[in-house]
Parts: sequence; structure tokens; C-alpha cells
Amino acid sequence: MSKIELEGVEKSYGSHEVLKGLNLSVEEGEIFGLLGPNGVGKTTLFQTVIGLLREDAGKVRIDEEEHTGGKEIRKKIGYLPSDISFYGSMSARENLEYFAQLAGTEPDFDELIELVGLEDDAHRSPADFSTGMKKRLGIAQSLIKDPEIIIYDEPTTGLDPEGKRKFRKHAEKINREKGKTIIISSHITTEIEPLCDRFGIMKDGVIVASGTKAELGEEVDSDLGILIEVEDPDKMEDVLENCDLDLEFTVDGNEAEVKSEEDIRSELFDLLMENDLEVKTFEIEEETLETAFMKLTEEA
Amino acid sequence: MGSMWDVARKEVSDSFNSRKFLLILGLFTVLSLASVWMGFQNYQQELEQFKSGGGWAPEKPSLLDIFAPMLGLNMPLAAGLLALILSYDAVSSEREEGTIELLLSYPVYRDEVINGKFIAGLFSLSLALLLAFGMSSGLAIYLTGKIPGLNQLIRLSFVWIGTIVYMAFFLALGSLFSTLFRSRWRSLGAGAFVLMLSLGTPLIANIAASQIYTYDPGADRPGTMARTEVAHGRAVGGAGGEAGTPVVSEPDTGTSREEIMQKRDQFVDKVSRFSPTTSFQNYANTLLLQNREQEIEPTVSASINTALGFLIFLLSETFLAFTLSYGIFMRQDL
Repeated sequence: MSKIELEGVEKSYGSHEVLKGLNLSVEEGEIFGLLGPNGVGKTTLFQTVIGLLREDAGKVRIDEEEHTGGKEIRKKIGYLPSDISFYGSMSARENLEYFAQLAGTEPDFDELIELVGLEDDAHRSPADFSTGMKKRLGIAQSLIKDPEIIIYDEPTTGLDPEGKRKFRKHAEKINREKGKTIIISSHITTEIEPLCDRFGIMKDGVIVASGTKAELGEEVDSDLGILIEVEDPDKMEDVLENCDLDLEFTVDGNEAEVKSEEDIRSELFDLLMENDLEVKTFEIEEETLETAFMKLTEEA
Repeated sequence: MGSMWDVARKEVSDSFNSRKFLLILGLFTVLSLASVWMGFQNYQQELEQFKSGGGWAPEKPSLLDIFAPMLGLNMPLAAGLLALILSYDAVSSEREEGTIELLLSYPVYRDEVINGKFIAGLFSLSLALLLAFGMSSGLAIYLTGKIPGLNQLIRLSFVWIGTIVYMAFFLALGSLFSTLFRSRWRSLGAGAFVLMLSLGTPLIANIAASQIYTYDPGADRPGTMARTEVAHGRAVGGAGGEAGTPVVSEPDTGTSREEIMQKRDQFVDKVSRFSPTTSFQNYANTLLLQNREQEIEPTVSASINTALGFLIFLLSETFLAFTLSYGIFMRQDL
């Protein structure tokens, strides 16, 4: 079942069109990665899903119910904005208590604070917090409503490698243990690649492709890449030039990079064996999420 | 509605923990006390004159006269400023600091946010005003050794209510500018400009009137300069006539100085009506019997009836400012 569904969503700021008939579906219980360069409309998309912005056209559905900005749907969504700020006039704990009042919930504040490792700083004003600490407090805040859906907008921006690792661990934990549906946005694929079940790639206000990593690889319709290392590169070059296989290749030193639109792995390996070439390496180049992202956002 | 009270509670707490609010509140209280002190000096002087029977004291000064200097400039300026300080960054600071996005991601409607902030501001201002009025009244009682009678207390209570409405106008205005402008400093600047304009409207109107209705001395004919001013039943004099003797002007074909003055006064009066400060001053002066021209002191209900018109005008200006602020905030993108 689709937890979140967007159908033909359009949103403009004055004459500037940000979302241009965007379609998206996020399944229940999955971690969905939203990838896109800066300024492509990821935050606008999130703000529309939460109900902070009203779409100019199209429909936003949460649990198959149309989102009209009502309170009930907002209770289902936890949100961590990319540039999170808290009230400096209150302590970190008081901020959480205030948001809990607004949400009408009574979470275990000690547990939340412990979850994000802010036990020693909960009495301090978030105005004195580092970016990493603010993000951690933001994560605790996103759980106050005990929401079914959590939206993290660029959660790893400004975090050090250890902070990024901890965030991924935390997101994985609340997804697996509590069954929360999570959407995470980023413009850096490697930061969310290990975490997400599926991805959506956004460009110019629309989702240009979505699916698992493998599905996205297929989507870009890339050639199969094979890296071969042999003892005798001249002979290899001669063999590849005169074979009947549909391929293209480049030779650099003892290595050759072969590209083909078809899966010629076994035929090529047999060919090399038949010609008594001593193969030291025969490596399939996997299509990475990064290359799919680059191709989809550059070419489309 | 629950969220509105949550927002209001937080805002009240923020106000009373805010240094700028406490500073202006302190200034406001000191100004009120200083005004009462000045009022007391005048009161004593008039009382002495009244007792000696000479000089210029037509009647026994009232305890209410002590509060009159407060309404001249101190209260309108300080009260307006205090209200602006509370509201000039109500929305713009949330936007600048990025908390509005987080706040509205909770089950809180926008109207609950703006209403909650306005209610909190009104509550804080009422408390601040109660403090200032309470201390000023205490000082007045201490200095004169007299306790105000019931009628005087009713009059002062109505002045307190009117001051809250006057502050509510500037609260709504600050709120309007804080939704209109992205920068809190622009919002404060615009609010301060309107406050100064409101305070200076009679002066500006006077200057404009003197330019529009010019007086040509050559147009006057002998005798037309004569004026009779009647105040508190006593003629206060005028060129060409003895004190206490009404002087009848000769028929005049040109525009006399008196007519020009009358036109100027009418113009100033019409323009000043749009100033919330003038409305407030007229309201308070009516209640504190400062504009009285009749010999008999009007009853409390008569004064309230007269003052109510000014209050209604002030209320409608407040309502307009708040409605604009509300409408803009409900429709604008974050």
C-alpha cells in the first residue's frame, strides 16, 4: 500500500515553477531516498507533503486520504527541516516539551534525549548547540508525535563522518524496529545509498526516475562494462578487433575496458580462453547509483 | 484551539523573559511615575491658587488632573513603543530563525499561531499597564493623601481599558509589519514610523492647514480681529473688548482671521481623527475631564458616552490592522 502518493503536483512561487506535475509513490515501511541537485524542489516537495504549502494543482494522499492541511494528517508526519532551528529562549528539553504540547502527545522525554545522546546538554539552550547537536535534537523532535512517516530533509548536511554514521544507524533502527516509513533527501548519493530501499531522482520539479538501485541502473540503459587485465595486451587487442561480438573497447597498458549493449560476459570469457590469453582480471563494472544519478540529472 | 493557548503561553513567558520588553516596561513605568509627579506639582499649584482665591484657578483641581500629563506624550509614546516591541518580530523572527517551518509542521493552524501571539501580547501589555497604572495611582494617593472616589475610579478604569485598546492597535500594527516584511528591523522601522506619524499628526495637520488656509491681514476690516473666548463661563479677553464683555464683530465681506482660524481648526480636527494617538488622547481627556467647557461637571456615564466614539474608532483601526495581518499570514508562503 502506498503510504504517500503524489499525483501531478504543481507548485509555483510567483512566476517561478518549482514542482511541475510531480508524481511519486512511497510504500509503507520503506526508506525512500530522494535524490536531486540543490534547488531542484526537494524541500518544496516535503513542505507540500506536510501541508506547510498548498499545492497549486494535483493531489497529495497520505494513507490514501487526500491531504487538505488538516491536523490529523500532520500528526502522522514527523519532520526534520534541512536548516533546523529551535527556540533559543528555552532549553533543549523545554523545546521538546513545547512541541509535545502542540502535538498533544506525552512522549518519554528522557528516552528521546538519551536516544540522540543529549543527556548532558538537555538543560542548555539550543542556540548554543553545534550543527550536529541541533540535528540530533531535531531527530528527537521528529519522533515526538510517534509519527508513522518521518521526513528528513538533507539530514546529514553539516554532520561529521561519525555523525553521519550515527544518523544512518538511528534511521535504520527506527525503520526496522518501529516500522516507520522514512523519506530522506540528499544531493550526495553516497550518504544515503546504503540506507535506502528505493530512490527517486528529481530534476526540474519532477521525479525523472524511481526504483531500487538495480532498477535505476536499468533505467539509464547503460552498457555493460567489463574490465580485463591480461599478460599480452597486443594479442588481446587483436582478438577483440577481429571477433564477431558486438562490443567496443579501449586498451590502456595491460588493461582493456570493454563495453557492450548486450550481456556478452560468457562469450567474451570463452573467446579469451580459446585464444590462450592469460587472464589476470575479468571484472564486471557495476552500474552505481552515483552514475545513474549523474546520467539522469544531466541528460534528461 | 488548544494549540492557540499553547502558543500564547509560550509567548507570554518569552515576553517576561525578554530584556528588551523589561527595559521598555521599566521605562514606561518610570515615565508614568514621572508624569504623575509632574501632575502632582501642577495640582498643588492650582490648589494653592484656588485656596488663595487669586490668580488663575477657576475651580478646585481634581485628583484626575494628576493623571493628565501622562496622556500628553509619555503614555502615547511609551505605550505604543511597548506594544511595537512585543509584536514587531512576531512572525518575522520565526521566519528569520527558521522556527516557523518546524512550528507549522505540528498540528497547529496558522490562525492559531497569529491569534495566540496576539492574545499573548495583549495579556502581557495589560499586565504591564496594570503595573504602571497601579504604581502611578499609588504614588498619586501617597502624594495627595487622598483616595479616589468611585466615580474617579470608574473614569481611571475606563482610561486603562482605552490604553489597552490603543496598545492593541500598535500590537496589531507590529504584527502586520512582521508578516509583511521578511526582516524584523524593517518591521520595527515601519512600526516606529507609523507611531511617530500618529504622534505628530496634529502638528503636521497644523502645518498643512497654515499652508492651505493662508491669512491675508489686508482682508480684515476694523473690528473683525475682535475675539471673545469663553472658557469655564469666564471671558478671557480679546483685542478690542474688555474682559467679560462679549464683542460683536462687524459684518465682514472678506475672509476674516477668525474664519481662517476656524477653517484651520476644522481641517486639523478632521485630519487628526485618523491618528490613533489623537483618538486615544481625546478619549482619555474626555474621561479625565480635561476638555471640559461646560460649567457643570458631566456625569461618568455622559463622559463615557462621549468618549465611546473615540474608542470605537480606535477599535476599528485595531481590527483593520489585525485583519490585514491575519489575512496576509494565512495566505503567504513560508
